Amino acid sequence: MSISASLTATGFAEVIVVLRPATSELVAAAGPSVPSNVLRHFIVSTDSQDGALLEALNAHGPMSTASEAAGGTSAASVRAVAHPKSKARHYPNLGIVLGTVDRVGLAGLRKESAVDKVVPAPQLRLIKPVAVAAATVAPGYTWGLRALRVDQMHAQGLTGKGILVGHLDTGVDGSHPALAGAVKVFAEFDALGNQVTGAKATDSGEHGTHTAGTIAGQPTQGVHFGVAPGAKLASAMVIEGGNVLARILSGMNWAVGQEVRVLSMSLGLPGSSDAFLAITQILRARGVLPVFAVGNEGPGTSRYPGNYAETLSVGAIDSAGAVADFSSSQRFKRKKDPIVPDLVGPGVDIVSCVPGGKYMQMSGTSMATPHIAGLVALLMEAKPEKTIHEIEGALFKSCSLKPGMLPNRANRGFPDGLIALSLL
Amino acid sequence: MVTNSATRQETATAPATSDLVDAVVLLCTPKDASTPSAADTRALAKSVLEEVARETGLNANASTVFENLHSFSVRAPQQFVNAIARLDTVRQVLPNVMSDSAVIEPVKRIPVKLPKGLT
Repeated sequence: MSISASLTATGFAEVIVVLRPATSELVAAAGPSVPSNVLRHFIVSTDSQDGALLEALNAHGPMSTASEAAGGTSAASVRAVAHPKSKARHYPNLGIVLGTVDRVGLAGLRKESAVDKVVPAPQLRLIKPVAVAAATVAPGYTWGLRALRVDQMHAQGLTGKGILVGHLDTGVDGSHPALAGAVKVFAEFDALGNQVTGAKATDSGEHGTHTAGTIAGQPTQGVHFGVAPGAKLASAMVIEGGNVLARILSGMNWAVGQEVRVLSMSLGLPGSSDAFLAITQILRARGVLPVFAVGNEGPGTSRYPGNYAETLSVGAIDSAGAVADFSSSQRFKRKKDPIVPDLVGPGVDIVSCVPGGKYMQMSGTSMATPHIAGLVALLMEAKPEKTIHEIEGALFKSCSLKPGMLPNRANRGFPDGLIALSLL
Repeated sequence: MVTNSATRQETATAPATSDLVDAVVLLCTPKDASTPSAADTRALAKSVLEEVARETGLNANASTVFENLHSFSVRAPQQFVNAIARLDTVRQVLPNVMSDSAVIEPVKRIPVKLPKGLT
């Protein structure tokens, strides 16, 4: 994200200051402290990525002895890195300083003779882990469905029947037994957003089949993992390759044309941009509730369009009720809905289907998002006369913060399907 | 069967592919804040392309209207796309290919064995 975009969205930006070579050599010789004329332009913000990480670390409390004994980093040393005494981190051998600035600080830095240039700090990305040994799953409802009280909603006869859920992802394996009959319509698009004729319901990866299964997967071998197994999917492959805007817009355009009432998108671009803002406003105006993932880059980060005030953005918790370390969260400089995500859903060790008739546990806000979209489908089935604003409002009011959950990480907290139903 | 509401338009006088850029154009919504109809969007997109063609003497190579989202994609010479961005009826012009991927990768994946003998 550019410095300007970050300042507009959040009021601050994380930057790298490149010192002029002469200054850099002097500073390196002087040690690790940052020159005071440079340091004075930085700010300390609890809403920055560093600040949010520190807050999250503090919320966790001291790290376990086992972690330290196993060679893990102690809490004290992590804090020393995350929150140095200085307002900025200095890398004397590289001749750069890393820190957070507001508009005034940025202007001040650019005027300093010691500063060569100021560039946006790159956002750290997670590295995909390798697959590990297969896990076994007990029959019954998965932890996520139980936590949302979906099992009790199913017992009342609610399955999402009659509700068409929009699902834009890597595609979906329509031949998976758990999704038999679930995919009502499927589409894929070329680079300019033209629909490809005769496309079969296939998945370019496995992400889309997994998220589709969480929305509408049938119980399989005694395991219930689909929130709304009676709902149908309008599913489109829009992120094969991942970076073509027209494909995503075309998928959204197509989903509206299919008359979906809820749109589940476990996708988003890092940072903040208003590229999808007008589109998201149009979705709402057309009666479609946008349920979008907030991202997997941790505190002080988020992805768009999931970070717009106009979307229902979803973070992730684990089965113990703790916000997942990877779950993005961020405070924005706006009056309406300044904190993202709006709420959190089940997003750690989520069982669902993947292509080839297989099953897999995955973790991510991508997994939490279809739980909430499925829950919306159950509420829409129960109360078809209610608007998307009423459904969303009931869902928000049903939320509560579990012990240890911080509002800055979980915002309203975790929803309760039965309470939301009773509020409608 | 194509059920997409997007419509496609191509012209015969397109320049070499290497000179073309792909962009997404977001159109301004009406001042009365009403949601534009599909017909309104198609008409405005057509008007934008025709106006820019008259102004620049160039043509779009291809375009696709997203009639439910008041926007369209276009493949055209850079000069043509620049002219689109200057119109009052255009809210924003975005590059079609973005530098980042929209995929939110799972942070953990573990194969699962379901219990046997149950239905």
